Amino acid sequence: MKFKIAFRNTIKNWRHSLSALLSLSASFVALVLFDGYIDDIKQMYADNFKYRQMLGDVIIENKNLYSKDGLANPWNYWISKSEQEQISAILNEADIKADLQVRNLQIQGMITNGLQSQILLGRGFDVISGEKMRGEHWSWNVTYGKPIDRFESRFVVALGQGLAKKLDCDWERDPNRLTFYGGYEQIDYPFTCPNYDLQVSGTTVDGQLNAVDVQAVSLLDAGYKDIDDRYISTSLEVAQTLMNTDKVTYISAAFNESESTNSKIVSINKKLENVSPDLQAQSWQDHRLGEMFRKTMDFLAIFRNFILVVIVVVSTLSVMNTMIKFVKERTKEIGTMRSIGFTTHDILKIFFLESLFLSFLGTFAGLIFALVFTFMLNSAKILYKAGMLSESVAFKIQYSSYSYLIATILLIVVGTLATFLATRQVVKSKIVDNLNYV
Amino acid sequence: MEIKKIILGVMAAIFCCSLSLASDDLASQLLKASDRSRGGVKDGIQWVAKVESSENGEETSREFDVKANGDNAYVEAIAPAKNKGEIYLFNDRNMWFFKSSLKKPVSISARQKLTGQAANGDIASTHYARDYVPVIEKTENLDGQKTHVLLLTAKSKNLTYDKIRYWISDKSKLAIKAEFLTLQGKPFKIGYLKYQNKLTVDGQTFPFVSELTIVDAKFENNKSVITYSNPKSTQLSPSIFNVNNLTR
Amino acid sequence: MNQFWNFAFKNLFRNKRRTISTATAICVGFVGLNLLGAYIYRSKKALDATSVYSAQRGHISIYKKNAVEQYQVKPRKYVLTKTDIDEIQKVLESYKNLIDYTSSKLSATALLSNGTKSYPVVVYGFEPESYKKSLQQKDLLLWAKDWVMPSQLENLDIFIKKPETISITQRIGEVMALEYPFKNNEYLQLAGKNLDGDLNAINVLLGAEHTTGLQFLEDTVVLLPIQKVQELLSTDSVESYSIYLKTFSETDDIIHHIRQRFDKMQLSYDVFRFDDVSINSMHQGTMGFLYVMGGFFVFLICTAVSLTIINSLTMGIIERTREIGTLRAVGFNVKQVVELFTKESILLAGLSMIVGIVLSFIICEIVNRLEIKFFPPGASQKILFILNWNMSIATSVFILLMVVTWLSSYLVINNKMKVKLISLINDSGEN
Repeated sequence: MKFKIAFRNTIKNWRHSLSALLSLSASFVALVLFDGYIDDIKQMYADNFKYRQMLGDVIIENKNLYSKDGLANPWNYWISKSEQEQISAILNEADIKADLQVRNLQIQGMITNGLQSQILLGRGFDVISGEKMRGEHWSWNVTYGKPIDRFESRFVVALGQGLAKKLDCDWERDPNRLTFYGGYEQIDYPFTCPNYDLQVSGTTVDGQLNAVDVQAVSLLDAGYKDIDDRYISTSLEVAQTLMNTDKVTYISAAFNESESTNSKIVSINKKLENVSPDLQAQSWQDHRLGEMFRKTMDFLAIFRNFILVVIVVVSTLSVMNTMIKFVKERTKEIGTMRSIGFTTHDILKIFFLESLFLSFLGTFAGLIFALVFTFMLNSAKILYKAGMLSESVAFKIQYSSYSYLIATILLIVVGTLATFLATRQVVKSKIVDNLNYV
Repeated sequence: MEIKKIILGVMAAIFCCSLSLASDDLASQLLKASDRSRGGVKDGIQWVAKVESSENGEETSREFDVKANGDNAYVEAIAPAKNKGEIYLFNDRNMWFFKSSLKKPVSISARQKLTGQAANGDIASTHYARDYVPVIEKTENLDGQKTHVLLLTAKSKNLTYDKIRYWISDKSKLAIKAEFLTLQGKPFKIGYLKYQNKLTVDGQTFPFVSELTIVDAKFENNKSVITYSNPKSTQLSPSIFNVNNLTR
Repeated sequence: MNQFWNFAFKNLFRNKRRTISTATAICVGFVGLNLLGAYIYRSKKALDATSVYSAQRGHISIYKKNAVEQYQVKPRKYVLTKTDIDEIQKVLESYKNLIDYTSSKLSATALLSNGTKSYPVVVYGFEPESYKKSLQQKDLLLWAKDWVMPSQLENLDIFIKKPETISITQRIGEVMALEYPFKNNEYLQLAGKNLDGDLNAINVLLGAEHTTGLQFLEDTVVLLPIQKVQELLSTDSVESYSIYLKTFSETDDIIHHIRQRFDKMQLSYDVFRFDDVSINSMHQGTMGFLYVMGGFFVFLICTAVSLTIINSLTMGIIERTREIGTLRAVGFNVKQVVELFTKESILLAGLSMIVGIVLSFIICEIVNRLEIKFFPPGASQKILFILNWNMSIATSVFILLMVVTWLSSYLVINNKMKVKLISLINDSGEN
């Protein structure tokens, strides 16, 4: 019965209800949109590190690789062939289950097309498992040409766009290659170079001069401009041939199931002690490579917290204002209800239910608006330059069910609490005062 | 019958071994002989080298006074005037650069000298008999001459080139072509040698290298031509190859 | 007219609770925008100052055409020769009253050697006089003091007195196992390829230090007087020519005129503003991100404030429907009623924001006194978190929210006035 009364009242007092709905839905939209934007940045980074850069869930390497000696003589700290096999066996164990494993070897040297020679930094990796680790969105990870895994020959390279420019390559620039979900359209956009036959030279782990002939088959965005100017991405075969080694710098792996990543990493580290005391497993977030991510997230957290506080305060005040007014306007009605026998408890319950309906309706309306705005903003593909990234990124908002849930709970609590407090204040007064309220 | 087979087999094996040994012996002899005409003599040797390079579309010309002994080389720039007095000191695989205005020489490790004159320094080195194990791959005709094609494999890992394919003339015992190979056996640089100089050591006169042309195997427009002149055998004090003496 | 303001002011106190809650919402939104604006303002000023003075770009950088991309590949072809500099200086004659000073820059890759170990570095050559002037600029010391080391300020003349002095970062010093603080009597050598492709080397004297401010560059960049870099490269040419203006505001105008003059004289030079993405992608990227985030926040706050006003006003109208009817009945026309209610909203917003100005100023002062340090992404060290309260920003936000308030209230009131007078008078006030 009270439920029916509450529902009818909501319909009857539609003008008041409309104000409340508007407040609630606007607050909901503001909260989820901003949180969604911050979430998108976080997602973009995570996406970039885990998939695009093929770092997966865990990186295994020698913990002394970045020591003073490690920086001067890195090859002394690389993972040997037998260690690779043992690591692979560990990663395939039932309690770990990391089927996707990518071995990586970092290289440096010179690259020449016969007309220009440039310093290069590069990375060779297992191209087939690398493509799988990049996932559906980043499987096509090049801006021009085709990804290196699409070629039968392993002696192919993808050039950083900055490096390609220095080698006099040319292409029709289009910054708008990113798709809605991140990654590039799977289209082989052309580029031209005076010579696609390149030679990569360098010194091996033993200090001997070596060279490998490769074909430039694609261009990619290496992420940061300073790196893009000298970067190549190639197969592990090219890297190991150049360095004359069967070692790798690090192994990255992705777990089949994403739960309990931390406990799996702990387990891997225990098992690695039997392989070598110097080997360690870390998530990319904790790794040196993830330092930029950590600092960016810390930085964004400051903004996120500040802006959310402002939005929450403004929204809460707006909602409270509405709900209190909502009750005050019906003081006479409350008085009438009390005079015909409704108890304080009944009235509180009726108004509580009304505010609950309104809050749900308001947040539901907010949800619809938020989804529509999110879709519109994401479809608009607004590009902007962010930090030190070499290419523009798309302004996007994530659909975060967690944010939606928190915003819903928050607004329902605020709405119902405000109503409850206002109603309680009214029912505390005498019935005659309620009836005489103007 | 069976004993005959065994004896024949053993004789064949001995014969093959002898041939192989003879072949190895020949390879070593050829290498030693060819080394001599490129500077591999027991005493020190000095010459003037003119280097004309064409790299990435740019041409340069430099002249150096070279003093070499064993693993060491003292190379002083003498032309053009702006480079005069610059010194490159090679100690084994390490290189030092020095000029009189510097308070200390600059060390350039093997890993840091990948292009230009520094890289050529490795190719101009001349102690293959000491540093490489030679094996005769085949014989072939090159520029109208019968040549033995040797495959030289580095005895240790600290040499710049792990393998060199070397054409030595059967008649003159001089190396006329060298392919500096990558670890995968592909030519990286190719050297062509001419011997119009003469050198006298211990009363013995023999041909000496007059020109070494180094061509990029992949990009043939990149090349350096080293012209050798005034070679002479000379006593060189070890102190000139001591990096600490550069600043004195 | 004044009476309306009087009425509007008095009406604010008729429903104190609603007035206070609406005012608080507007105030909080205003303070939020101000504080974010203060942070963005400070970031921009710091980036501008470091771009112009620390990085020695000047307000305007002039390069040979396409040199920004090609100098590293073909340095000899893309340097500015003495003839080029003379030509440029002739063009700049017309603007000499706007120019504070000029300088040249030259960069190279080299090996820094201590006699036993060599380490690859990027060398930035600068003019010592310009370096001294730049580090003393009040803009730099005001906005980006974190990026200037105390030892740099104590030794401004070091490169003038000892032109062989090289400035390295602490990170490079660690890698080369050099004793810190760096002794001013230790010689190192710098070796690299000159413009003719020959190996060359020079002596440099340890004794100065700097920070690049960026993690990626902290173990790479060394600073050296330009004459020494020219000696290393065996040239008297430079890579770029920097112009330091007396005021920031003239930058765009001067760039425009210089480009026109170059085109007219058919001179092949590129002219860049200090924050151009071609030569300063860091600036563009950082500000791009802050503007997008800030813009989004402005949009959300304006929407929230607008709805707060609409809500509050709607409730007020509902409550005062009879009053509106009465006002109309005694002779107030629609326009006057709209004006009255609109003025109430504007007054409310105005008063809230005046309180907001004071609040944001106080918050900024408190935060700044706390001297909180934080690590911006990509930075090589922690910097002070500073909020620079700024009157222009406060004024802009004030105007923006006033416009939002005025628009919102005008639309709501105007809509309400479409109802017939008799209905207004008969309204029970509950629906």
